[in-house]
Amino acid sequence: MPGYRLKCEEVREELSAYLDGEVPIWKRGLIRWHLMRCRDCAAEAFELRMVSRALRAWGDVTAPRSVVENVMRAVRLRRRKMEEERARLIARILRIAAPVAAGVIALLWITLLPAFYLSYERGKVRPLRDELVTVRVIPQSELEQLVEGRMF
Amino acid sequence: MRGFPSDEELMKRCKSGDLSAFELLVLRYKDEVMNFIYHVIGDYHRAEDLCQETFIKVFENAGNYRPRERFRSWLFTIAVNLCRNELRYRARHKAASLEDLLQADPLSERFLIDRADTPDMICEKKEREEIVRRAIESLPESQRMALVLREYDSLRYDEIASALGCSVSAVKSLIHRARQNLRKVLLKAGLGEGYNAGI
Repeated sequence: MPGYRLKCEEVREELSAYLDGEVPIWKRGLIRWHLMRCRDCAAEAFELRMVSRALRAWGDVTAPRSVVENVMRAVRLRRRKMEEERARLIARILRIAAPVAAGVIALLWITLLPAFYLSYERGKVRPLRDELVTVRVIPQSELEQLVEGRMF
Repeated sequence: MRGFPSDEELMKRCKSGDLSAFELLVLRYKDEVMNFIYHVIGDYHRAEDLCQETFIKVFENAGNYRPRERFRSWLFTIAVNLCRNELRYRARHKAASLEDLLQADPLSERFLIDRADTPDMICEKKEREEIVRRAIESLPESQRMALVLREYDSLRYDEIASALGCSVSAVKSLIHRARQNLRKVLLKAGLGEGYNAGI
C-alpha cells in the first residue's frame, strides 16, 4: 500500500502485538515506519518493552521431580480403580442378565415345544409313505445269466 | 519422527492405555504448566498441587481430546480452568495476604537468591519481585492469565485464545490493556527507572 500511513491511535492499539511479533508483515513495516517518525508512539513502545523486561524480575520456576512421580502414582491408582469398577459392572450385569436369559429360554421351550412336537409328528409319516420301495430278490441262476450276458 | 513423537501421537498412545507416553507428556510440559500456575496464583506449593491436578485431568479426559486441536492449547485450557476455580475459591474465602504467602513459602526466597549476590542485591531483587507480584496480582483475572501465558510461557496469541476460550483480537486487547495497567503501576513503584538505564 504505497503512501498509506497509520494514525497514532491505530499504532498504539497494535503496539503490544507488534512487540510480540503478532502483526502481519505488511502492518509491521507501517508501524516501524511510524515509530521512526513519531516520538510519542516510540516512547510508548519503549515503555511497553520495559514492562516486559520488568516482569522478568519475577523469575521462572520449575516443577520438582515429585510432580511426575505423584501424577503417575495417582494415574495408576485411578486406572486400577476404573478397571475394578468395569469388572464390577460386568459382574452386576451378568448377575441380572443370566436369570433373565434362563427365564426367556425356559419360556420359549415351554411355548414352542408342543408346536414343534406336533409338526414333527405330522411330518414323520408322510415321507415314509412317499418313499416306499419294492424290493425283489434275484435268484442265483438269473443273476449268473445276467452277468454272463453282460460279459460276452 | 520416530525418535521425537509429537504431542498428538503421544495422546493417541495415551488413549490406548500407554502410560509411558503419558509420562513423557508430563515430563515435557510440567515446567510450563507449573510456571503458568505459579505466576497466576503466586503460591508455589498450591501451584504444585494444581500442576499435578492438571495432568491427572488430562489423563482422565484423554478420551475427549480431539487430535485436530493442538495439545498445548488443550492442556492450558485445563490449567486455566483450575486457576479460575482457585482464584474464585480464594476470593470467596479471603485467602492469606501476599506477605503471609511469602513468609509461608520458603521456596520464594530460594528462587531469588543467587550465591554471588550481596545482601543489598538480594534485598533489591526481593523488592523488585514483590513489586511485580503485586502488580500482576492487581490485574483482572483474564488480563492476568493472558499476560502470564504470553510473558512466562511464550504462547502465541492464537494458542492463548484457544486456552482462554476467546478470539485472537480479544487476546490482543487483553494483553495490551494488561501491559498498559502494569506500565502505570510499575512506573509508580519506581521499577521503570531502574530498567530504563538498562535498555
